[in-house]
Amino acid sequence: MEGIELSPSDFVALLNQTLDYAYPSVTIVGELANFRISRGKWVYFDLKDDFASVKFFGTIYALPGPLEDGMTVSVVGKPHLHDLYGFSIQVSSIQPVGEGTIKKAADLLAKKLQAEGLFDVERKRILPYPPETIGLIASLQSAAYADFIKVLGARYGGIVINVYDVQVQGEQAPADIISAIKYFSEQADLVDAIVITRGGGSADDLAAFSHEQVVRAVSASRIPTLVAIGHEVDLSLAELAADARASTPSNAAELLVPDKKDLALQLKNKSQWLQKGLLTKLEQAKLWISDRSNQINDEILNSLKVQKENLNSQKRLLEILNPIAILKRGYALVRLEGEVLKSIKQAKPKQLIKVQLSDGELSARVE
Amino acid sequence: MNKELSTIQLQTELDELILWFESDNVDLDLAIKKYQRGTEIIAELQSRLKTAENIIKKITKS
Repeated sequence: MEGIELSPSDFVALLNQTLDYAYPSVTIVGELANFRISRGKWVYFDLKDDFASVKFFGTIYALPGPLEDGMTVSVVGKPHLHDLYGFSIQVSSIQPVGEGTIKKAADLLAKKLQAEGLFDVERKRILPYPPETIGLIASLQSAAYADFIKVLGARYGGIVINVYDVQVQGEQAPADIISAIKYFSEQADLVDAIVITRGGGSADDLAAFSHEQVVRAVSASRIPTLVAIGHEVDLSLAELAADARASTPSNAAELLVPDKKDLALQLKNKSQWLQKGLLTKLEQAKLWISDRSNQINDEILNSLKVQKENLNSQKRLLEILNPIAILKRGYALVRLEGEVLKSIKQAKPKQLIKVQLSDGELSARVE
Repeated sequence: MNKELSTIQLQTELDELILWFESDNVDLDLAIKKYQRGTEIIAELQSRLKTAENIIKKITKS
């Protein structure tokens, strides 16, 4: 190149071509300095050590969450010489490094998302119990996946599990997990629940599950979510944003479905309740028939009683009207030739009359 | 016979049948029909419990 004259534009183009070829992507770990966000979108910062400092430029979409100067971060990016603003590295991803920094970054993000209400209990939805279809987001090679499938199969059957294989740690993990949630949310037939799981690990290993965009994707999911990350002591922000969290992948399966043995026992109990129900209905029917029978008997008896009273009443009336009863009181019936005499004018002297008294009849002659 | 109904639908129907037997309805013919339906559902659910396997579908990313 010696002796060749270049314009500034030519030099920038040539250098960028060389950088693209030699360093298409670099990963630099260092201490964050001069971190600032411009117009809510553009991110500028330096990474430094004791002897050097490098400038970086990117967008907020590459951020794992809020960051502060002094944090140790690992940045993946592309070296670039800008026509006007000089050299910087264009950021593709940033990850906090080291337990202290990761925890601090997670605390800052947790505070921010808490203020936005992403962890509010009122936002939590109830997962269908048991679900008929699940969208499982996990690494197919992980023990977490194997544990979840094994425990789920031991407890319950008939569920369709759609597995979306993702990286669960490293640079690619956040984008994979977000894509998987988006995939399930865009299907015509939505699954009943999304389960996101991975096994335990260091703070670095689990960092993707506290990445801001991942936490937001979990929170915004159309489908109820269950997140189970790591061991019981591990807690990621994605778990806080989920509708339900489980302490381990196995625990996720336990929360999601009932146990076959419990269901078999419940069925046995229900069978007994059903038999008891039918017997109760038979008893109720018998009782109903018995009640109706008693009612009919009562009605017949009442009717008979009324008729008997009527008869007695008529009998008493007949007794009152009976001429014999009147004769007993001292009266007499006088007949002439069979006809009852009602007037003295009906009889003539010498005629034979019959006088009927209560205990018999005697004859007499009119004078 | 119950293949078109999901396990959850059958469980719900069974629970409703059991609840019906708690009612004051003394229609014995209906009670016998409901009891028969209940025993069919229990047999179907027991069979599913014993035989149903989870189905795993791996999603191919485009």
